Amino acid sequence: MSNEVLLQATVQGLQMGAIYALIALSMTLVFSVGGLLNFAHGDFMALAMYGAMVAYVSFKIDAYVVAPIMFIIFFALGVTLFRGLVRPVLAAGVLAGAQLTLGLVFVQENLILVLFGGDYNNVPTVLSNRNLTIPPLVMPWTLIVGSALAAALSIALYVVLLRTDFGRQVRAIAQNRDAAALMGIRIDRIQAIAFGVGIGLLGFTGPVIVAQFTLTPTMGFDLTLIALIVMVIGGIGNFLGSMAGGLIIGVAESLGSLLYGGTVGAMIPYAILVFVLLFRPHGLLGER
Amino acid sequence: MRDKPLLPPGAWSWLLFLLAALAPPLMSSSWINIGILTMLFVYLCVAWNIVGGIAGQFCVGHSLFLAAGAYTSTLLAIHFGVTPWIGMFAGAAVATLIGLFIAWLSFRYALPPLSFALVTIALAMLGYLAISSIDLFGASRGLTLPVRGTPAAYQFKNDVTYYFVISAHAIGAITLSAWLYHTKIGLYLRAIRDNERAAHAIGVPVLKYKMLAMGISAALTGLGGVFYAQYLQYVEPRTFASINIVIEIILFTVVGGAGTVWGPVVGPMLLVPAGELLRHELGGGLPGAHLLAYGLLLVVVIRFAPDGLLGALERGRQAWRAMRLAKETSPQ
Repeated sequence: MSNEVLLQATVQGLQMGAIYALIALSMTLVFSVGGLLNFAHGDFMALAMYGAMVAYVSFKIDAYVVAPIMFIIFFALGVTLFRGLVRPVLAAGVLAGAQLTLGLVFVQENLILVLFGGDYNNVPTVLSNRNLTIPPLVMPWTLIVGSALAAALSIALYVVLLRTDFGRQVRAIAQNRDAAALMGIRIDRIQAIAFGVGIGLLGFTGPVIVAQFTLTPTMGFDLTLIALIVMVIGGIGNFLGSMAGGLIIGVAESLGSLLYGGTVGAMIPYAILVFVLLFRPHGLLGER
Repeated sequence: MRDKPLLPPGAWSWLLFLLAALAPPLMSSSWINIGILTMLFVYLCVAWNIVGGIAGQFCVGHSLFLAAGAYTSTLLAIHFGVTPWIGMFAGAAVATLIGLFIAWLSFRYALPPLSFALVTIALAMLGYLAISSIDLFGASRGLTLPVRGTPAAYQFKNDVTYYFVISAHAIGAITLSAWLYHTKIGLYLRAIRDNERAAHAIGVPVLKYKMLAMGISAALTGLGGVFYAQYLQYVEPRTFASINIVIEIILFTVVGGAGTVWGPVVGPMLLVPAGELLRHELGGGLPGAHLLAYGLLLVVVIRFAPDGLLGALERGRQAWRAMRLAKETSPQ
């Protein structure tokens, strides 16, 4: 196998990895404030992608224009869901929360099936079918823009969490909820906003990377699984770890399917997860 | 003050369940198939509940055990002509070994419960991908069972017999789980669920009992896989090895009430027929409409009764009793 092909696959893996990292980061955000393991995470993104499809087919609006609008819609959806559904169930325990999101998977996948049918769909954007060639690399513009936006958002989210009041409050709640409440942090409000931002980021990411995926009603759960793997490999609740984990999984998946073919390539992320959990149970960058 | 119950508490549940188990002669043929599916899920939910509910270890890997049972007995029947009546024990044994191995791997360290869920998801996905690509297992095409058509080969002429077989499985599993729940083992498991550190501190051998719960649960699920394979006469990865069936098992159990003896019985007995009714009413229209209605129903139940229908019932009964007590003791 020539070095060029390997290089090409590695670069593509890194680009997909940046996207995975962002999905995992938003999952980490949702997880860290309330302990909610969100099995419906990828399904929210699938919903946003179908939203982009509607915008393109019905109104001829490009996915990149839709993305910021989707962020606002999904932010509102996230806050509403948190207030009405997630918070009352989380009060009964984190397991009840995880089970609720399993129910949401059912609802969202079948909502998509009812609204759009079970066919495969592709959504073109202005950048589709255009490549950037930097010999020996050939890269599709959609992937370049998608991964660059994902990386920028990841870094922005990280800076927000590290430097702003909101970020400090989120981290305080994640570390010690009771102490945070005693310091005067409005737990419910911060949790709702964090959940909203987490879901909103999915609303933004979905349209931005829609050209990279074939849309099916059940695509969401696959994305959830990737996000879970990335989140755990990096250490649950560790934001830098999630970024590193995303890149590792992206490259492993890309090289794996190039060298060993589809099925083995698909198995590699899960195998990595099992190994990490068995030998570094708190994640590659996890503490304790 | 309290009315004396006519029968001890569990007896009513048993009576109702035995009536359901003897019902098929009264049912039409389409309902018998729904009944078989219901009893199968009662059985699988009771089995999952032993590790997932009573011991509180959120396992998503039960598709592995279902597949282990189904594929082991089927491969033995195809290649060696072994009747599934013997193959079922081989299947249960393979499932148990896998279960014990997973439990040992994951519980050596005190991983938080959610990472256990993730390890089991990952292993279940690995298993699914492996089965759907290995030729010995028929890959994604699956395996068809050799047709014998005799009871000696675990194949019956009519569905009523299948119904009685799976009902017997379910009765056995409920008996086992009810017995476990009240013995020392059950107390240990519930102590581990409620506070693992405290249980460890007072001397409960945590690892041993978690492995025991997993082993029992895996063995029962393996037997369920053998039955399902005989009933369908066909084994393939989507039905037996995908995570979807585990999600259904978990949701049914949770809606009934995880961690109780009768919760995993009540959940599927309401939800499986409800799902079939919805399919009957809405299935002709838009694809997925009945599943959407079904999913919304599940979410609503979890929202208003996170501890399951049995938990909600118990809270309602206590509230009613407190109200009556307040009325009786009030000055007027």
